[in-house]
Amino acid sequence: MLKHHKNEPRLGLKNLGLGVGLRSEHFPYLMKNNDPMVDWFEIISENFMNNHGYARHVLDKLKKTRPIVMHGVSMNIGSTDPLNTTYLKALKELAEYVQPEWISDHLCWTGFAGKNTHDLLPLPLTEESLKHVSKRVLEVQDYLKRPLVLENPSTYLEFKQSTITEWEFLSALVEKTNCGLLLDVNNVFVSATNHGFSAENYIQNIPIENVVQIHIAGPTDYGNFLIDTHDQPVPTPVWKLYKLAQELTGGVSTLLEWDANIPEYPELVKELKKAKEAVLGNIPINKIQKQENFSIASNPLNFKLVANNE
Amino acid sequence: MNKPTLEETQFWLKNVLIYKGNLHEKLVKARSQTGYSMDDFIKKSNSIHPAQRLGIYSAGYTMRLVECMKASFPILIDFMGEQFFDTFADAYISTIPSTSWNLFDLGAKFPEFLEKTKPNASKMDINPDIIEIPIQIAKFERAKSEALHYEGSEKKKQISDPIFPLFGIDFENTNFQTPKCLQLISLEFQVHTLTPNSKKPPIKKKTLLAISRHQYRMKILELKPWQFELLKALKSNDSLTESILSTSAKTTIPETEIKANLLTWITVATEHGCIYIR
Repeated sequence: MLKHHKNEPRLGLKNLGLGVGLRSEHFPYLMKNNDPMVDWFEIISENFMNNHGYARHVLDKLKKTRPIVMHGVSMNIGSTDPLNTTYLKALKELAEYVQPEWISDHLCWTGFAGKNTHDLLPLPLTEESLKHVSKRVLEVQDYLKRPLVLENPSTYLEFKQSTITEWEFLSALVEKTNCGLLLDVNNVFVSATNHGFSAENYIQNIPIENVVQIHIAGPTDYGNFLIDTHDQPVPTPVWKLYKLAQELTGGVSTLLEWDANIPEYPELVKELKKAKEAVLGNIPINKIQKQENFSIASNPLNFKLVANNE
Repeated sequence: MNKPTLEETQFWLKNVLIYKGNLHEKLVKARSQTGYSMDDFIKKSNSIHPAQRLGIYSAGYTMRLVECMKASFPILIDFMGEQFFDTFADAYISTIPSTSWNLFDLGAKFPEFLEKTKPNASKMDINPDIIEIPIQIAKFERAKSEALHYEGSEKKKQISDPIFPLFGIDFENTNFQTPKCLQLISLEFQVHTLTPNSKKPPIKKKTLLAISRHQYRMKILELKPWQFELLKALKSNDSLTESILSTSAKTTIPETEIKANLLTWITVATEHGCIYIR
């Protein structure tokens, strides 16, 4: 196990403040304006791995003035396939170039038998999967020479075989590996709604000293379930969970995720800045967007390749 | 039956997502492969039926990946219509499931898939161009994606001296390179002239194109056969002299003529991201 940071809260990682995901739609704004109006950026690791196009040029500029965090979606940490060494090598190479504050991915699996679904699939939460994921987290941390930060995904089904709650699983995982946690309060809200557990209880029962970052986002209500669409303003219930999480942690890095129907950059930042008010108790009033026809969940990998003249 | 292991769970769910057909068909096939049914895995609740829960992932799998492909083939969608594109993209994803962690690779084999699965026009009594044009468009759009993705010459030394052509090129000692992002394609139709909402189909004419970048801007250049062969040779070897020799052999244009043509073409080639000096 990585020995360093064992006794430091949040693995010795600092509160970066308020950040947004770097999306190609905002490249023109960010290249024209020197002040990005946020404290840091999160990149989707896979969109930049082996990508030497314009996106890297934009990243070159931004990383000179703002901290960057790498957030992945394809580490496949929960799969019973062997860890993909080609993927890890490319991830490490990107990290050497970006020098991120931390590297994160999701507590899930994305593929099996070499096939990739490009989705964040749920794990049965059992002693078997806990042992399996813990082993792999330790291997990845040893290879990357830094702690891995794992995000709780939104889930739409639970397995009959599960014997542990998700918050108990995360607690045990942290105990075994000292990994970091990326607490996505929107995902807690979505999963809690879909499975009938208390979101507040979830947040109050994870190892809060290992939470290094919080995600906020807006889901969509399809009647009898929520989908993690990341295409809406943050609704009031998620802001309330955010306030709770910030109170419990004492304040950690905040990232607004918005992956579809992306607003103009200044509007995105305006939404992010509501986080300051939420922490003070001025919870923004915003309903959960309702839809009738099922659409897809968030798709941060849909990263349009752009040229400078688009 | 014993409780499924983690591996069995993932095998079952992966198959349900990736198999062709509606959810019922997928479940029947998954059961025949694994012996397990949905009831063996999905916890029941009063709010949502297990099939609906599973359907979120199952439907989402194809929908998500088709959406990703749409971002890469806008001209093709415009030409064939969204409904047809979705059908072909769905078939492609079902037939060739992704094996890469990188979504950039998702559409890589789509032009080839369209080519291999194209119907026989003569048996259908339709104009074969209607079948061929979408394949050409897919090939062109994939080449554009690759030109935007791979390493260009932006961080390399450029031929910036405007008097360079006047004093001649030192063919032996100047190290010309092509950037990794340079794509060379041969098309049967001038699909690169298509614009959004084009009312007319592209002209049927054999066209050689270089697709690359210059200062991160997409550049598309129509090539003469000797230019195409020269760039193709340069992509596979470092020597300009050898590349000229090989071009001469393939085009029967004398070396001296190729060298003279290169003097007048080199600035254009550089400005279109086709060549840089190492």
